[in-house]
Amino acid sequence: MSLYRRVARSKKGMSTVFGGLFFVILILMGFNVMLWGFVQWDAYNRVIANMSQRDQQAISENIVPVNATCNASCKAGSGTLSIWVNNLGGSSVTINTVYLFNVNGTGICQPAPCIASPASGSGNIAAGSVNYPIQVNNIAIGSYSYHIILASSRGRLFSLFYPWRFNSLTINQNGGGNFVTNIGPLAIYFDTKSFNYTQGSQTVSQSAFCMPAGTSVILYLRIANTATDSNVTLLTQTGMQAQAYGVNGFGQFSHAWIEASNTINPTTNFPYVYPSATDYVLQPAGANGPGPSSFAIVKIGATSPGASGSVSFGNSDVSWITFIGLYYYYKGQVQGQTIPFMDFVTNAPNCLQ
Amino acid sequence: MGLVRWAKKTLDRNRRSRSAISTIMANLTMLIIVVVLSSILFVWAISSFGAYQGGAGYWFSSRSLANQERLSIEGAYFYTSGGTNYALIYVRNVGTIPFTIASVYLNQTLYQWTPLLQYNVSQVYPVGLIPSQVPAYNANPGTYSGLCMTCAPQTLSHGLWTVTVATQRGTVISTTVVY
Repeated sequence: MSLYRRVARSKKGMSTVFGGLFFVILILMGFNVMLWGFVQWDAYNRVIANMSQRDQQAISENIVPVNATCNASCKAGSGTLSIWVNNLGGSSVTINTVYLFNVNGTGICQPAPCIASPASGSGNIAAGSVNYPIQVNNIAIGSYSYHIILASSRGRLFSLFYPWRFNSLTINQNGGGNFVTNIGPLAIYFDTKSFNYTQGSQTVSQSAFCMPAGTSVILYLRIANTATDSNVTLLTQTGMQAQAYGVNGFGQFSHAWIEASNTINPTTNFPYVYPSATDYVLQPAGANGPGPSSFAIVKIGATSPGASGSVSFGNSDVSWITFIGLYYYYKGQVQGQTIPFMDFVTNAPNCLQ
Repeated sequence: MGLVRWAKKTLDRNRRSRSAISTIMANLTMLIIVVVLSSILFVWAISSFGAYQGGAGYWFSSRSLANQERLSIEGAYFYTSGGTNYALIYVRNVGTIPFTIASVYLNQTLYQWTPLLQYNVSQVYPVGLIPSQVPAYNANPGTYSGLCMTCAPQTLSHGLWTVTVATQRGTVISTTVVY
């Protein structure tokens, strides 16, 4: 009781007590704000770390398309379009959507693209997969060419063209994959990447060793000038003849002649009449072999020398032995050469057209 | 004489007690000053900390949400139909929260529309689609033509196009397309 009276009656140090209390409250409030800031920063940094990890996983996706094929009924819409890819990244990849855009300007999937999902399960690609087929069903792709975009679940895009585009101007000095016949100044490339064709209104060529029977096509032949001392200019008489194996009787031949370099497909083709602005003029090779200007992709399909048109090979499931006669100017002289024994098949089993 | 002595005595007593009044006044004054200053400091601290927590809290929450947004422009297609130019731009939500696209720029031309459509996680829709069009679009994507460029008006010419998409939270993604 006496202690209470002493404290109650004492007026000394009240301001110090009040000031101290306020100061302690302020310090505690400061600590509270600081702790709140730590918690907020921690939550924010956690979000940043999580999203950075997602971004890194997205960046590490590395899908490399290696081919696109269409089975027998795919063009009619009841089959499967297979997009073959390698997964060279460190994590599995899920392809959510496949965009197919028709680049021909007519037909389906243009001007708005066709949007498809991969067939069940075929959109999940394990890390390290090689030649994995992403399957797209029920799109009648016809004979058109497509720009295909694969969209992954992490937001990455991978694109390719159908039919599969082969690089016709890459020179492989070691011959890997190239089969080359050299006669005179010209080198003719007869490998699967170089001997191509288009049908319908396709704008991208594909390998011609397996072709559809009875279908109008334009053949693509890659040649190069290996001479170092003169240009080579192709002439209108350049042509080819194909004969079906084991087929008797007349009329089992198909003939075609050279067409202008701006020829694309059976619906877009132009006659080749020397001399003209569309002449095939192959520049001389350099010291290290033919350069890009020494190469040409020769289009063959004309119904006669100097005409336009396309060629078809009527017999199904047969092999065709083919001779190609190349006529050209070299050093101011008209010369010719024949390339024998080139062969392809039409509508053969186990052969993807 | 007695009265004079009494007056003098009273005067002397009052003069002596003045010193005690000044001590009490000084203590009271100090107490009042401390209380007032502490109150002012307290109020200031409360308002400052509150303002800090409000501003910082908003920043943390808005930036945290914005950082979880991820957009992917999966395709951009330009075309002309019936004399009208369109841009069909597909955007997928590859983030962890829904977002809403507020505007699109084709080169430097702004496109806006209302009402806005929310893109849930993993959803893909063309930009410019409004919520009431979604059921018809899901049933048949061909029902939506895309952004009307002729209406903007903007000329469609061949060349390189820069497509920029911005969300309501300020996330911006840009890509280039050849037409």
